Formats: sequence, structure tokens, C-alpha cells
Amino acid sequence: MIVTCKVNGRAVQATVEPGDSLRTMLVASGYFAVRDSDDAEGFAGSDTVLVNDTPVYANLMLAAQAQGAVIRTPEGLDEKGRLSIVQQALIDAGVVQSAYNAPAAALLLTWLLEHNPNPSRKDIQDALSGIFVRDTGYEHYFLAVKLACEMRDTGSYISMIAPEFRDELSYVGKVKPKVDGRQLVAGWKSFVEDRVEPGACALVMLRSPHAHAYVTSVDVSEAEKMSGVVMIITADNCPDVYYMSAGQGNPEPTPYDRRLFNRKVRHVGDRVAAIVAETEEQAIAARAKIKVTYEVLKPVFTVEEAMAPGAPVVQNGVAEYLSGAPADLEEYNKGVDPREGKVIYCFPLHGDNRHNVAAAAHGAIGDVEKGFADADMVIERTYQSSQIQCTPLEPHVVYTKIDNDRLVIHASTQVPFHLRRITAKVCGIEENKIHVIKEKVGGGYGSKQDILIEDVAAYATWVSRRPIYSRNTREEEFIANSTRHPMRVTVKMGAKKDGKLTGVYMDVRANTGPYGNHCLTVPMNACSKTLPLLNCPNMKFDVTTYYTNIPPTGAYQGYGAPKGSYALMTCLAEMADAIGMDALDMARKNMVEKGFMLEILKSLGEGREGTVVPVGSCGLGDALEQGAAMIDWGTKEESDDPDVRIGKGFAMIQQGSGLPGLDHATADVVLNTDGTFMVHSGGSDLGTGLDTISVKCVSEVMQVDMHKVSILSGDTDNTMFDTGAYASSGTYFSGNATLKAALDLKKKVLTEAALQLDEAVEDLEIRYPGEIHSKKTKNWITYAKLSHDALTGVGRGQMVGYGSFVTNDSAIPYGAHFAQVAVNVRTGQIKVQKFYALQDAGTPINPELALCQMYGAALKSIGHSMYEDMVLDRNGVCLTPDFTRYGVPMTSEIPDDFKAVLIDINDDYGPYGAKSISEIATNGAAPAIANAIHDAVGVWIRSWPFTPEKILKGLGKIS
Amino acid sequence: MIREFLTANSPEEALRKRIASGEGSVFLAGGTEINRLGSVLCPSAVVALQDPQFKRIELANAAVTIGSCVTFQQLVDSPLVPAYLKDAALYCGSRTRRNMATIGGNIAMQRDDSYLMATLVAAKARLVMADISLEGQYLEENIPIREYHAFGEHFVESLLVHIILNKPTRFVASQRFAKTVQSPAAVTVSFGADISSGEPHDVRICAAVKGSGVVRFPEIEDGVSTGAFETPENLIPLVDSVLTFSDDITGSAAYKRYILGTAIADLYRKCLDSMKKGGAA
Repeated sequence: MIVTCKVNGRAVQATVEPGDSLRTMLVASGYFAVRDSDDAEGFAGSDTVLVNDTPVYANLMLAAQAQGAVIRTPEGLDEKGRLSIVQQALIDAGVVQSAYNAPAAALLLTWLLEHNPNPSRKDIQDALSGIFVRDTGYEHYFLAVKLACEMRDTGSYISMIAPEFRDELSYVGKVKPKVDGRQLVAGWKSFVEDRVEPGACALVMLRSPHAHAYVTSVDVSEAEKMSGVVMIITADNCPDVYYMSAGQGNPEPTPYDRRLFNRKVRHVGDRVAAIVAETEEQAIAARAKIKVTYEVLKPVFTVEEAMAPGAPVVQNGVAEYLSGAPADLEEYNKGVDPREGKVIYCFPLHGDNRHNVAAAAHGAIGDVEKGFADADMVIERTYQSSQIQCTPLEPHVVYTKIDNDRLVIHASTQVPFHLRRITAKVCGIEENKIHVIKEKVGGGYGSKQDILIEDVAAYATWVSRRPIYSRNTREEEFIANSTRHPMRVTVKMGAKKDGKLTGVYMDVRANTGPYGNHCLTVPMNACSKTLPLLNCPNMKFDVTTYYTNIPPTGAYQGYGAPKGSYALMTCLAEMADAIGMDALDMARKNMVEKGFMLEILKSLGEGREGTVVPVGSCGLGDALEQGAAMIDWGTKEESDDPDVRIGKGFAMIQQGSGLPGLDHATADVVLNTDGTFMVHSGGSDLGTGLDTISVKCVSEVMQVDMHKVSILSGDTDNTMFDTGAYASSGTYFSGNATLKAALDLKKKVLTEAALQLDEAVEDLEIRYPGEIHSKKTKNWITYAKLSHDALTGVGRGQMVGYGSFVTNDSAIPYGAHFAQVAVNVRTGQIKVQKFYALQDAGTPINPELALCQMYGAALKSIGHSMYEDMVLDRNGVCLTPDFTRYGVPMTSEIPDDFKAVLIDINDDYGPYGAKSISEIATNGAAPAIANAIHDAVGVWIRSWPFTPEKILKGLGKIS
Repeated sequence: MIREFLTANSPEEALRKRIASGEGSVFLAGGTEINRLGSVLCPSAVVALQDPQFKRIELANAAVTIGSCVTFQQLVDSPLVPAYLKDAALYCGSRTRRNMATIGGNIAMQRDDSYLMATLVAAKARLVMADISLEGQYLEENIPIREYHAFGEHFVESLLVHIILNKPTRFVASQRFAKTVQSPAAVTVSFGADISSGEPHDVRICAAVKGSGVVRFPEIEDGVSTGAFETPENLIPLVDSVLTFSDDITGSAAYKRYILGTAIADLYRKCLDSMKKGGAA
């Protein structure tokens, strides 16, 4: 049938099927900014359009219903590249980060202002209620609307966007538009899906319905005969290569315990076969024809089940060691069923796969038993965190093709260089045969640190030579993606009556699920990013990670720290309560301060001995004091509702800035022939503003406006090595690499200028807007002339600065989060009334982006603490495989009073004194809210999520 | 998969087209159920209701008549719609979805986490249902919503044309309990009563309970009407006698049982308070 309508003022006539959605029609007509992040769930709002001036989800409307309609899409907002006031305000407010939904949000807010020129906070909240924003929370959307109104009414902004830092600097620490903001907010081609060419094949996965089973046979004969089928990959024809999905430093502190396809499935949703066909419909039809038989095994889902004597063994394969093999290995491997495959350790991780132990670590300082003996009070508490999904709006997606007889991978990844290495291994080729292009990443949060679909697509393309597009469904994101490890953390704590801690012990039991990616490092983070907050002479930890049959786990923003922080900080508050001391006083008494030697770090290296360093720049004390003042700590609030009790809580937090001694970043900066600059950074900007940081560093060093500096990043052919964007490494490592490259270029520019001007280098200086000036002769030369003359055929060639950054120095960000909650003792309902996130990010290079990341991470962790939960049934089937049932926070869930505050501390090692900002912000909500709940109603909530039901149980109202 | 898209400009045309297109055809109102991921509906043909009367809200003779294709947001925006129904419409937390979801669609689905059904039952709404008789005649019938609720299977071939709300002085209030505003509700419960005489009577208590369905509580309704409960809390034990609760992602059976009983008691108390203040909600 034919649908005639108007789209963005243009007449459109489209031929559609009766069942086609409006989005299908719009995308086919070229309106690709109408995106899809929920597979037509009608939740996340990426598919928002205006139909006859009403916002609707284009996925939930049939194209046929649009007959005669007037439709507006995000593409209609800018005028030939000139952004609208709303679009620009969104960039300036800092909310255009991973930005998969930014065009839809711009459309909605434009609509709002057209109908309500001066909307209230509630109006904005309502307008955005159908949009899911994971990266920045919603707080600065309110600011963006305010800015847009101010610009509309007065021609300029009146409101302060964010505090600025370092008066002596021009770009760093200043509010400046994000360099890729225009592209992202306007909805121009940015993401992997935008790179797919006509004729690309589709890859879909056949997944296991069982949590634990041997695959006894896979019959693809009928499927292979289906129309359009290109190839089917199973355990029978995939490479016999063991690897793991985690994009971590090589050699990895993670076992190689999987092939592309295994003869045993270990979770519901595990891969059984990949079907490549010329269209997605053909691939899906062929998938239905594959016949699989299973020998079903008893599964284990919890740490307790996995550690029980005689428990079913999830990874019962042959153990191999690339180094450090134990002497009894031959005996250990006797009688193994070959269908189990292998578990290969690069080096010993203290695993025992025969008993479901994937990895273990132990360490201590002082004598913790003596610490407990010396204590006036000893308590022991156990805290349980749940399995949490990263939920990036853009699901895992990849486009692979052959070009120039090489494999090209358009990826949405945090780790392009690890991706290249791992796919090279899987494909059995060398890295020079692979070109990874990191496209814009529509949300990563750690889940795109894992190689979850790229491996299969890359192999299929390499073998078939066909271009292949593969994209997870939202359900696949839930069941076959990386998630937060569920952890059971027991804390034993001893203290004197005056509140001084005498001993702390953490026993971390982590559930890694079916595979061991990140199985050592995430759980260790529960200790390594929490214990160093405490000035306690006797501390000990044991970390054990178990294989189970839950959906896979992996990296998630904060890594293991949110779980450790929840346990340790709640236990600290429980101890304060037990000895009758104010929790804030107890924190003050036991927190570390600048110069304190972090001896505990010695035993907290990632698979090797860690480096003991002193506490460097530290805003912990300031964060605590400012936060306490903001929330009026010590004052009991009363509610008008007799059923409602109000309480306050807080938590001290820390994280790291990359992994000193492990991470490596590289960049170069090229002086172009016209005096502009090109940065090539190996770093991976996930939308967080890393590219903007690099550009600011170059602008600052070379004293040129930011628009004179362009950047290409995360491209394995065109940039140099970088370990990638994880462990909060971006600013510290990749930023420092670019800064070093810029400083190197500056040196070369001055040297060249000295030659061209016939001056001494020491007499020259660089000055705005891009020239070299002689302090002695007042002579000067522009970068353009300098570069041109260096490249005239008789010059000395192009000036390129090179920067490689490695370090053993730590730049640890600190902070404190405060919460005020209202708890209804009759219904158990909890409302977060106030949430204040105070963090020391050193010098925040992009202060407005930093604030938004704090809001986003804090709201995420509020979600993790209170609402989000992957629920499995007794067979391991996920009962919450979509946004609605899973329960992510939307505008309705934001605290009434939500503030992010940057504590001004300059760091000695970060670029211009900067430290990381975002991961740390996931660590505070759980303990702060748990402690506030106790303050309100006297109930300690020791497991996520903090549901009304648990409150009611705690109050004895239900059993 | 939808293979046929039809439009209808009157209820009669809609019914006849649906009959003509055979089994597997459904009426298309807002589309939020038919087109959404995981929908229980998988129609082969849809009949889109385009008659403007489906989309109107009108006041006549102290009754508000609401077309079945009126969206939740229209309910929220209309000055004619009682506050209790606006409250229920706002249980759908997404403005964008409220722009699409319709009152008729929500009634027709009778989901166990229905936003509106409990409130409409408590409000004693009436429904105008259209049918084609066996003789081929177009018929309209005005029925109480409790009949539709009790005998839903009798109306699967019918077309809901209008929802009528009268008795504007009736007290109606509801509560919803869900993890987040947009999560499926464990319980959505509504309490309605005629308070014109100074005592609550003609009571309707209805709840959408996840895993249990949309249920009424006749024993409690009678108890409230006859003044059998000394305090509102006394009705709580009766909740258990009406339905069986189950554990699911919205909460345990024990939680649902507790929260439902507590909420009904709270709503009853609100009703009593409202009477003391001499008003309706």
C-alpha cells in the first residue's frame, strides 16, 4: 500500500506493507535519526516523532496510520547545519554525550517549548517521561530548557552552566561545546548502524533454551538449504580457539574458557549457532529450521549453590596454564569430558574450575585478628548485590566487511585495539589484516569493553568474504551481554568505643556466571576501591569468584566498587550505630587524608603485586563537610504525613584513574599546512567527552581556538595503541598522551620557528591565536606560514608531536554522596527526596560534561539500589528481558533535589590536574540510601534492590 | 503479522469490516498494545477506528461520554474528565505513550496491571457496546462495566464505542504500587462509593493484581455498604478470601496481599474523611 504524508515539510510517498511500523517507513525514506533502542517496546523513546503535532513512538504506530499526517523527525530541527536553539542548548548544558536519544530529546523539548514557552520543571519532566537517558541522568535537561528560553528571549545565556576552573587556562576547566555535539544532537550519521551498506548480510544467533546442557547434535542441513542463507557456524565448524570476551590488558587476568561456539551451553541464551543470510528475515527463517538436541544438566545459579559440595560443575574442562602451571595439573585433568572444552589461564588466578572457582585472591595488612581482639565492638554483616544490566541505548552492534583484502570492523566498542587483537586470534590472522573503526558509541558503561558479537561477525565475514551486520535485540542485551556480577560481601569490622577502627575484613564471593571474563578484577575492585578509603592498620580480604549458569557478567561502570562500597560503607554506618556514634564522626575518624601511605594496595594488584603509593590529591574531607552542610546533617526532618519517616545517609567513595602500571595510551598531533591541527588519539571516546579533552589539551598548549583542532580517535589503522576506555582511564591516560603529544609538538614548532626566524628557541613563545612570537625581537610567524614553509620541498618536513603515556602514579578521585529519603512505614515505599553527589575530579577539564556524568552515574546507581533487577526463574530464564519489566529509572524516579558538586582539588599527575569523574559516581547511592533508610525507620537493608517489600519485612509487617 | 489494514468511519463499518476480514482481525485504537514488543495480540488484519466520535469527550445530562479511542493524555487534559480518572490515566508514566494509548484499548485488554480498569469499575462506568446481530443488524447496548468485567468473553466480538461516567458526586480514588512509575504494577486498586446519603453505599472495590487479574471484592463492598467494619483495617483479612496471590517480578504473594488490603483500608478511610469534609473525589 502507498502512504502519502508530509515529513519535515516535505511530501513523502512511501510504499509500505500493512504491518510496517511508521519507523520502518521513515528509516526507509532516509530519516535514520528515528532510532530504535527497545525493539518496539514503547519505552526508551529513541523512535519518538511528532505526528500531527503530537509526540508518539514511531515503532508503535503503523505506517498506514500516517496517511495524510504531518510528521516531524529530529532531522527537521536544524537548518542546513545551523542548529536550533534547543539543540545548541542541549550541547551547552552537557547532556549530549553518548547521545543515542539526544535527537529525540531535542525534538520533544522543541515541541514542549512550542506549546509551553516557559515550562516548569514538572512540565519538562512530563515531556521527557517517555525518553530513557542512561548516560547523563535528566538534571541538565532542565538546565538546557532554561538556556534555550534565555537564548530565545535575550539572545544569550544568563544561567551559569557549570563552575569553571583554573583562571590561568583558556580551554581546560571551561564550559566549551563538546566537539562532536553538533553531529550527535542533530542525528547526523554517527553510529555503526549508519555505516551499513546496501547488500550487507544479516547475522542472527540461535541461543540455548537451557541454562546448562551438552549440545549433543546440531542439524543445520535443512536450514542451509533455505533461501538466502550464506553460512551457519556451530561448534562443529568454528575455529578451535579458546579466548575470552574481556577487552583487558594482555596477558589477561581472565581465563580463556570459551570458543566461538561450545559443545556445552552454560546459560539460557548461550550461543548455539550463528546464521548468516542475505536478509534478516531469511536468517530468522533459517534459524527456525535448525534442529538441536541437548543433554540437559542440572544448573547452579547462586554462589551458595556453586560452592556447595557436589555442585554441578559449570566449567569442567581441561585446565591449562600459559605460565605457572601447578605440579599436579595432569592429575587434575584426568577423566575430563571433552565436551567441556578448556579453561586456559595466562597465569595462575587461584582458580579451581573443578569446584566452580574461576579465580581467587587474598591479601592483608597488619594483623586483622589482633585488630578484632583489640576492639570494643566487633560486628559481622553480609550484603548481597543483584545482577544489573548496563542497558546502553544502542545495543551491541557491529558491521564487518572486507576491503582491500582486509577485515574491516565498524564497531561500537570501548576497546578497539583489544577488539583487533581478540578477533585476530579468533580468525587466525594477524593484526595487520584487521582495521577496527570505533564509531560513535551510543552507550557503553563497561558492556562494550567485552567482545560479544564482533568475534562471530568478524569470523563470518573473514570466511565468507561477505559484509555482515549484526545487532543484539534488547532481549539479547539482557541474556547474552555483560552485567554487574551479583556479589555476596561479608564485612567483619572491629572498633574502639571512640569509633577508631581496629580491624576490617572483607569476604567477597562473586558470581561470574558462565564465563570468566573479568572474574578476578571486578571482584577485587570491591576491595581495592573501598578499603583504601580507611585509615585502619589491620585489614584483610578474601575474594573468590564462582562460575554459575546465570547470564554472563562482566564490566559495568564502577566495576566491583559499587558492591564493595555498599557493603563496607553500610557496615561502617552499622558500626557507628552499634557503638552509638554519629556516622559522620566515625567517617571523619577513619578516613584517609593526603599523604597517608596506602599499604593495602600492595596486595590489591590485578594478578600481581600492587604498588604502594601515598594518598595524593584528595577532596574526601571537603566532600564530606560540604555534603553534610548541604543536607543539614544531624537535623531530623519531619514529614506532614504521619506514615512517613525521613532519614539521611551518606557514603565515602573513591575510584581510580585508569590502571597505573598496566594501561598505556598513545597519541600524535599533526600541524597541518594551514596552521590547524589534527589529533590522532588511540583513546575511545564513548560520548563522555574524551575527544573534547584531547582537543582542549592541544588548544591550551598551542594557544589556538578549539575549532582549529580536529580529532580522529579509536581507529586501529589511523591512530596508535591505547588500551581503551575502561577503568576510568580516558582522561588520565588518553588525555595525558595527547597532552604529551601536544607538548612534543610545541617543542618541535618552536625549534622549527627558531630555524625559520633565525632566533634562539628560548626567546620564542607561543601565543594566541596561533603564532610564534619572539620575546627578544618581537618578530613572529603564524603556524600556517611555519608549516607551509616546512613543507615546501626544501623544508624539514611536517611537524608531528608524539605522546606515549604510562605511569605508576595514581590519580585517585574521592567523594561523598549524601541521600535523604522518605519511607512510608505503611506501604514500604521509599522516595529519594535529596541526593547530593560531591566529587573531587581534580581539574574537571569539561566541567559541564563532568557534572552530567555524575548525575547519570548517580541515577544509575539509585536505579541499581532501588529498582533494577534481573530476575531468573528456576530454569535460568530471565523474567525481566525488557526495560519495562527490568525497571530502569526515568524522569519520575529522579530525586526531588538532585545536586552534583565538583570539589576543587588539583592533581599532581593528571593532565592539567585532572582525574577521572564518572565511574566513582556509581559507588555512593547504595550505601547512602541504605543508611538513610535505617535513619528513617531503623531497618538495615542488606540486599539490592531496596524494595518496599523488604522495608515491610524489616518492619515486621509481612513475613 | 498484520497483512491487512482497514479503516472504518463508523462503528457499524468497523464491525462489518472486521467480520469480513475473518478470524485474526482486531480493532486498532492507539496501537500501543497491538504493535508493542511482547504483545499477546498477533492480528492478521486491523480495522482502524477513524470516526471522530471515537475520539470525543462530551458532557450531557450530567454524564461524561468518552469515545473509546480517546487517549490517556486527552483524559488528562480534558476539563470534563473527573480527577479520579485523570489520576488513573497518569499511572501510565510515559507522556508519549499516553499520547497513543486509549481508554478503549485499555479496557479491552483487561490486563492484570491495567491502569484504568479498577478505577472505571469503582466509578460504575457504563459502556456502549456495538454489535452486528446474527440477523445482520447493527445494535448498540449500554451495559455496566461490571458486566463487561464479569462476562468479558461475551464481548470479544463487540466494539466498545463509548464509556459513560455519571454520578459526578461519587467518591472514587485509587492507588498503584509498582517498582518504578513505568514498571508493571503489583497492585492497582480503586475504591468507589456513593456518599450522597452521608454513608458510603453502592460501593465498588476493584483491583488489578499482577498474576491474579482484575478482581472485585463483593464481600468487602457489602461490608462497607452495611457499615460492618468498625475500622477500615478490619476489612483487610477479607482480601484473602477473594483471590489467590502469586509471586512474580512485581513482588511476592505476601507483599501483594498486604499492600492490597492496606490500600483498600486506606482508600476506605479517605472516603470516610471525604464524607466528613462533605465532598466527593
